[in-house]
Amino acid sequence: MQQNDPEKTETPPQIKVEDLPIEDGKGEDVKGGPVYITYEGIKGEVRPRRT
Amino acid sequence: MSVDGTIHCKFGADAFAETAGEVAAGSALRPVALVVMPFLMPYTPSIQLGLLKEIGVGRGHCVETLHLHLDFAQQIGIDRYEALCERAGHLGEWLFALAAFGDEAPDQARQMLELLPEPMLDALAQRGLDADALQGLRESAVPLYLEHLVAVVDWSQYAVVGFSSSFEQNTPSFALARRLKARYPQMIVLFGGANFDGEMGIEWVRAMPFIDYAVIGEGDEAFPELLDALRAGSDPRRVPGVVCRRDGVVAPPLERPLKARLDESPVPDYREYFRRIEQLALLTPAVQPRLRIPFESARGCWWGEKHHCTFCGLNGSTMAFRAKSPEAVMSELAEQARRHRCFEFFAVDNILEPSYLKEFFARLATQGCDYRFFYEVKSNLTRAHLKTLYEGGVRYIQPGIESLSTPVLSLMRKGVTAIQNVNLLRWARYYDIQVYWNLLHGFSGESSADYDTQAALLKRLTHLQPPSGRVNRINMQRFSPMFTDRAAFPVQFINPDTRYRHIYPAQVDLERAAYFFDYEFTESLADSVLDETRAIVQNWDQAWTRKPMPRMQFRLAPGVIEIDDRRDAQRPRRYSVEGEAAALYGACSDQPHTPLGVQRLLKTSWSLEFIEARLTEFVALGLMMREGNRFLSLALPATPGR
Repeated sequence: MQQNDPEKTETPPQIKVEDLPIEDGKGEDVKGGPVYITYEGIKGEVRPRRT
Repeated sequence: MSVDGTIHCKFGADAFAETAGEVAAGSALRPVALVVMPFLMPYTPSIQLGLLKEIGVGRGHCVETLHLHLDFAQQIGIDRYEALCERAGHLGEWLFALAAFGDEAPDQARQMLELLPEPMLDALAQRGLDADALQGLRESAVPLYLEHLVAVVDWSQYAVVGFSSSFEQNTPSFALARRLKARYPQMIVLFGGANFDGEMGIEWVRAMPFIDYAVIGEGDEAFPELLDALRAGSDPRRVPGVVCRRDGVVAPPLERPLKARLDESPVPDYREYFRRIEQLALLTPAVQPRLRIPFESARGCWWGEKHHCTFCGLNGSTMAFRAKSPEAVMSELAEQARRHRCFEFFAVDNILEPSYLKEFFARLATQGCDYRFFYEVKSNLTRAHLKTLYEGGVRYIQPGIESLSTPVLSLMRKGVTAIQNVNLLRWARYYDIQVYWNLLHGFSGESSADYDTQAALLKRLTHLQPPSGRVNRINMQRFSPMFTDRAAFPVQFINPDTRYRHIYPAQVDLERAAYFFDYEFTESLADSVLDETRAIVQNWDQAWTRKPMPRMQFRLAPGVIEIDDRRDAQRPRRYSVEGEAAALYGACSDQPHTPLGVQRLLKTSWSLEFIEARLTEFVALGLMMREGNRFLSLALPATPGR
């Protein structure tokens, strides 16, 4: 049992929301670009169905 | 062997007696060539060739490898070659079909290209491979390449030429084999590889008159025993796993147990690949860092042995899981690194042996080895697992995520849930491990509600790595439960992939030779159900190309948490909670928890209702996900590397 039991000693905590400044992104490396290992376990592909 | 075709073989060239026509006893004493053709990626040698070469040499045969896919890469340019390797759709097979079958080749009017999806054609066109260029490759570049190969290698000294064929390597291999057999009728032409597993191999041997023998299934023991039989003049059909054509008929092979002890496998010999890529002037500064050495630490799939994923046809006759000892793999890696000054490795395993986490990667980290690995893993890995993998050198994984819908994952028997998959993506991002994954659809029994739920979740995950394989309808593959269990997976129709008919002559029985099939389940969703998913993934993909990248991180201290949400660059927000309840978010970060689990973890007497209500508030703000009664924080810790 904690000393400061919020259920009994506090009102339910509020989640405070505030805006952050928009970043310009200068100087940051871009990660997650095109992947370059091609593996052979092809499981699906984009193509139209033929009925 | 050098690129100009000079063979340096210790085995006695005077030890054979050449006999035209029928294969004569003793002819296998002459050198054996193992060949790999397009479309193997140019940045890697063939583990099949490297391994079989060493196995054959170990049995006293003179075996050479010829990585001839590199010659095509050099001829057409490595970028264009790579573009063709990356694209599925049987395009590579179509490019070589004319050369393989001549007048018997179908689709002289290139209708095949009309069957390929526009995005694929657009991507190829951007690499200089529009429809006219592809046609030019087919009609001019491919014949020139084959003429070059026939001329540059002194094929007359080989008694046996073996081809390893997987995925789109069939027609390129057939095209060369046909030319060699025409010029050297006494040459024994041997095939093997995944394309020859099961009845596919039997049909290829029946339909392709230039093939003398094929190894069906694993070649570790069948290949050297076949060479032994040829050398001794005994009947190769008595070698389990080997088939040949007699009077137009190919009898099924004698059964052979799977190789049980992988530790007995020798270290694959890739030296010819490394010599060849250098001598062909392909080893540029841009290419050098992309080289990867393949290695095998396990075969088969321990998950598939218990619950075969419904769509997977990768382990046709080799499902039984077998792993090498970590010591054997470490020894092999060290040997390859010394030989080639290459520290980049990719495992050809279908799934990670769980004990490797402790017995392999943790030890590599302790030893201070600087290897970097690609591995296929099961997606139920925890934060601790991913940390161990990272510290052991794993930088790329293919975890078989396949879906972020638990009902759809259940339909495919993946044995994981959406919340587990999301957690894997979270910790892979945290530890900077690149994930190769798809969103698959098209499973019998799925509903549009499954994809609505998934779409709502996807919108909250843009700070995690997008699916590199995008959104794909599942392929129907031979050997998969979807293919073999017609009662469980009823279809309106199932036929060999239409495109095979634009590649292979009419005498090929595609019902027996095909690996991919067109199909429609009895109950299936309209493609339009996935439109929203595709749009979300497209936006997600684009978001990952911008600066700064989407991210969401939390900072936690006793009594306070701040969550900086930069998933939407135009609407960055900070969420903060003060008081003891701040710990709730941190409690659901390492892994999903129920309110009861959180209660126990935090050793609090807060009621379950109170905990659930607070967690639900995080869910409502898109900061957590909920699956059933389990909650998972979506943000990642701001402090890296813990």
